[in-house]
Amino acid sequence: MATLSFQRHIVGGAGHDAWLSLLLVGLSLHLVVWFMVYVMREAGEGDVLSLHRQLFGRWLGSLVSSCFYGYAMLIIITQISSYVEVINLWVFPYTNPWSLCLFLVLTVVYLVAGGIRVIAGICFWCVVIPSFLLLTLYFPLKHGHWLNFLPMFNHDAGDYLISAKQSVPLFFGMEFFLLYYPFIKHKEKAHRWAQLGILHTTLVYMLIAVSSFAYFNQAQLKQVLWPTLTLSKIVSLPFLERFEYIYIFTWFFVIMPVCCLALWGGSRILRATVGVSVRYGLWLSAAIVFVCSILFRGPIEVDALQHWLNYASIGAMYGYIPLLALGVLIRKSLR
Amino acid sequence: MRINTKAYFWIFVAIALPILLFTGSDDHQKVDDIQILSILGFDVAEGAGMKGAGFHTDYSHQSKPTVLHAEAKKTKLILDQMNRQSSMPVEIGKLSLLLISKPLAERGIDEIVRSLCMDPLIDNIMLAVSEEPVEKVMEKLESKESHFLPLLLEQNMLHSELPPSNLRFFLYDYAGNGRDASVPYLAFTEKDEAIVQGYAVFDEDRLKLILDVQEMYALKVLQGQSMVGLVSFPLERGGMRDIALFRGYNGSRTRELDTSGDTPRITYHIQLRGAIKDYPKWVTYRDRSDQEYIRRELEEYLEQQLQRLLKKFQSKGVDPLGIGDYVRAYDRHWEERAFYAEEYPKLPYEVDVKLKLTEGGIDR
Repeated sequence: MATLSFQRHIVGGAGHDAWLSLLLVGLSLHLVVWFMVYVMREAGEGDVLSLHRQLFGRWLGSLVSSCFYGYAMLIIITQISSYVEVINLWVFPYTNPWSLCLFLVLTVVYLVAGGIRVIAGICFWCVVIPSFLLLTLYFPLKHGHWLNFLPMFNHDAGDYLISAKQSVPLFFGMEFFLLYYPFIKHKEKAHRWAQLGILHTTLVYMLIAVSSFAYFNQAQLKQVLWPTLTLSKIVSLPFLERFEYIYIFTWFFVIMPVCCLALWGGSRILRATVGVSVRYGLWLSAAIVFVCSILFRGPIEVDALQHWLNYASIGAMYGYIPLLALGVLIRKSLR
Repeated sequence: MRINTKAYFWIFVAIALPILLFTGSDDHQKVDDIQILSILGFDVAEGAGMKGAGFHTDYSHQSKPTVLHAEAKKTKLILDQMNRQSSMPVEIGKLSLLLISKPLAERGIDEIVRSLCMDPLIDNIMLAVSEEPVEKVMEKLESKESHFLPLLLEQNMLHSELPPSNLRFFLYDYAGNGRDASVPYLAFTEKDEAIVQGYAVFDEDRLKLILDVQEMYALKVLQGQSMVGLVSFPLERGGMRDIALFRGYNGSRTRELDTSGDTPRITYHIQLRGAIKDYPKWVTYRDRSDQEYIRRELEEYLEQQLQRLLKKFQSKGVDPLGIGDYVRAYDRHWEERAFYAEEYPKLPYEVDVKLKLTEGGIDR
């Protein structure tokens, strides 16, 4: 969901140079992926949950795992709340938000119940199918004002940092690699594909950022709430007045993979920490998600969610994962 | 995971399907059951209020166009009043023209832009300023097809001197730093026919300047997107005076910024391809020296016209060409207020027009 509005957030710092921050964040995440792969290779057969217990002991390990659970729930709640907000605002103003939330949560539950193979399939197709939306960026690029990128690099380092901070939430969801790594069949190939995945993500976001920076000027970007959706409105077809409806409903595919992974991860964490079965864990997590996404209604609440998620994902990617790698390194050298 | 997937499928179907069926049903609207406004106009009213007039075709009564009138303080209240006068919900999703009367445009249109133009439903529309009160415009349009005015504007953008514009151009110029918005200016002839009378230039949200047709073409050329249009220019030789007509087909515009001096210096290079459509009797167009003479005269005339327009913008303090934005791109410490207070009014311009004349007339 961050993809729909990240332009507005990242221009707050480095303005028209914010694409550089986005690129740098994308590049730095290759290192984070390398850390993750290193951690998982050292963890042996188990996933990150058993590693937590090995590293921090039973109680502290469960506590760290619970934080991971909170993070996963925060991700899926933010996704569902902001998607329902967009649907309410753009398409169905009179529909009850709770019914949309329930529908989304049930879809995710159903997909997750299919197991990791189904989720893997969803992750694949839900990246491939929405890719056709990238073609629509042709129009903003065609009408782009390329002078918007000049003068290059006339901002302070602090401004770039603010923009970088705002572009981190675009990449959340990659931490679940720590949970599903044991399920990957060809582990030796996993690293290469993980790096390629990050590269692909960075390139897609760069493309969206560059098209919106070329099409809108900075003052506009600060006003437009969902620049990516407004970009989609440029497409006008004689038989279709509102292309953005296609865009919004295809976005359902875009949020599905991360929601499925988060819920699946959540139910696994519950099993490892509290000891409930995966089935109850799944329903319990789904209930939490449903209740919270109804509670967090309205633009201020959704913004607050995104704000927390922003800090949580920075903490997870640049704090937790490197620390975990450090812990693994220390344990290895002590042995 | 050992979960019975089949059971989940049925749970999904049992709960999700009713949600889709029951919650979706109160939201759909058939075109026969709504009134789709195609033109919406705003005018000044007593005090700080606004008058609004919406033009729509009532498809249930043999496509008879009807006009709804309302008066309120806010745009959305006007729409609500229209709704209360109507047997079916009034929808603005397919609006194609937003008309603003001259007095309202002079008073300021920020409210309309913020409440209406930012509405996600509004899309692909045109904006225009009207000389006549909006109520009168709608009355005069009642004999016409509901998309007459938008089509008239579109046609003129493609085939006459009217520069291309729509809501997206407008919002880009309106919001952006270092640029001002501009929209077509409509009037009515003595025979009550709508006509593109000129081009309205805004300063912030207020109408500041109205360009005539010749200036409008100069603006179109300086914008550089399309150069279609007709120019009449004077010819004088050996005591004989007449005017000749030139029709621009296409061309290119490049800008050059020279920042070596104290103040930046902007040069416009225009390459224009077109044809002489009408010329005095005493000129032989098939004669090389005469053709050269016309070309030189026209180049000079156009350069003067463009210069004059640029000077006019400077003296009025408006910037529909985005000169400020252009200078910003090459100035690492550009500041909007300082630029327009100090640099913009005395910015030196150079205009260099290169013409390429194609065909001539069919006689001589």
